[in-house]
Amino acid sequence: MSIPSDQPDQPDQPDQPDEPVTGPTEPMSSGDPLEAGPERPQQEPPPPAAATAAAGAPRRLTRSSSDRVLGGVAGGLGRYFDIDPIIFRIGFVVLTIAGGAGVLAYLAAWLVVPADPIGGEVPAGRNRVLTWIGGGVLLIAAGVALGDGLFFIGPPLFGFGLLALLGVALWRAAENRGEDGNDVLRRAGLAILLIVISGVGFVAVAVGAAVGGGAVIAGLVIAIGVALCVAAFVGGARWLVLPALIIAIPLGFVAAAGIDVDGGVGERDYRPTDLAELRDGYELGIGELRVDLRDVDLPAGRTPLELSMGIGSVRVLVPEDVCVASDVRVGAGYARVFDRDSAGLDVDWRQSPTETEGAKRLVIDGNIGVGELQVVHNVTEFHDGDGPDRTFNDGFGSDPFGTDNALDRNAGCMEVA
Amino acid sequence: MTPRDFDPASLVAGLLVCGLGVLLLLDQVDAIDLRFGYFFPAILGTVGAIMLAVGLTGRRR
Repeated sequence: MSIPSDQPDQPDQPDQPDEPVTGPTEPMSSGDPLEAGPERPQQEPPPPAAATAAAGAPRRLTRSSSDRVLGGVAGGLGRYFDIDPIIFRIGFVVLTIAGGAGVLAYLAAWLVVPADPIGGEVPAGRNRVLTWIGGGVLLIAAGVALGDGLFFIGPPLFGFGLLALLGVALWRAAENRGEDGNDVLRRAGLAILLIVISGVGFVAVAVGAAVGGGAVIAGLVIAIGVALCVAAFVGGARWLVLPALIIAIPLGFVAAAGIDVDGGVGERDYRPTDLAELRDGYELGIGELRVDLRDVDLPAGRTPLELSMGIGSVRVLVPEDVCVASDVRVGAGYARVFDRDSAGLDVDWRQSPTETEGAKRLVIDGNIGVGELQVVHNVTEFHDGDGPDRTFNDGFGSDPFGTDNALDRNAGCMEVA
Repeated sequence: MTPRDFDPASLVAGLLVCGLGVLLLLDQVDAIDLRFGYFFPAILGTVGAIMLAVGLTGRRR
């Protein structure tokens, strides 16, 4: 039966001289934040013989307790690689400035790299490092919720952060702890297998959610939560947190992006020649959807057009004499209507030019999960992202009249709101 | 059940996971419109609070 520990933190020990750590440094409270097994025997202190045999033990990466600014990560890296720690500190700062990845990488290393024992015994009860990191993540969550969180959630951080986490996990799994080589290989293989299973799970959940199984998957997340609550009274089952997150994160991403892959996969070209051929809407699950309305003589007044894309590109060509009003939602990607554009996450694109009596008005209602929507007059105006003759505003709605886009305007409107 | 059987970190994690699941379910039934602006704080808050709970209660024995 599991026994919760309620031992208080041990008082901080004074810093010790910076010496290389060569002895067995089994972590006692850092790392392994969500310990899987409900039962685990008490960690026994290493026998004196092991300590005296330190010189023969393999070198291990630990956080420095003597050369530290925050958690001793850079100090430990410098000691391990025999490089001035300032190099690593500069690296963390540069990565932080270049998108915030340095913060996550540092926190990840702080979490998984054990502290060296020179500075004193590691508390056996509470995990102070995990507590601080948890508090930090909560602060970041608050910052994301209350302000412009893109600094923390931008692609650089997620890319570098994920790679850093995977790298550190593999590093620790393959670390030689004085075991037989086969044990190390077996542990590393299990870690790789777990990562692969997690990746497959991510993709499977994302696909399942995109094809309409989101409600069932959300129900599964709730069921795991209930199981965790019940298990809390019979010893706990913290390992359930990992499958819960593996399920919830991709489902949340698909839901937030609004990805719906109904409509098939591939390339679709629609070029109606008269109003009778014009549909009320066009949709595609994954791929490229092109709708050319230049041959359609739209009537005066409003003509609605719904466009839906799960993952991919929607490109619309409209006649010069048509005024386009648009209400477009892009979960992650790019939206452009003539000379105005916006890109990023949660792009809400609304344009409602003043209506003029007798004018032809095309009202576009677009829903793009991940990808782009472009509305232009001529094929040459489409932006492929690498066009040599122009660049586009790719900010979050900033500079909506980007002068580089000014070649193509909503000319069918008498007045642009 | 004895007090030693109770794992508060699991209870906190369970409640947070349930909350996250309810948020996702509400989006699936179109009761709310989940956006990245809400999802990222929700997932970060959940992970952070679980880490905090685990850190404060210590490792399981």
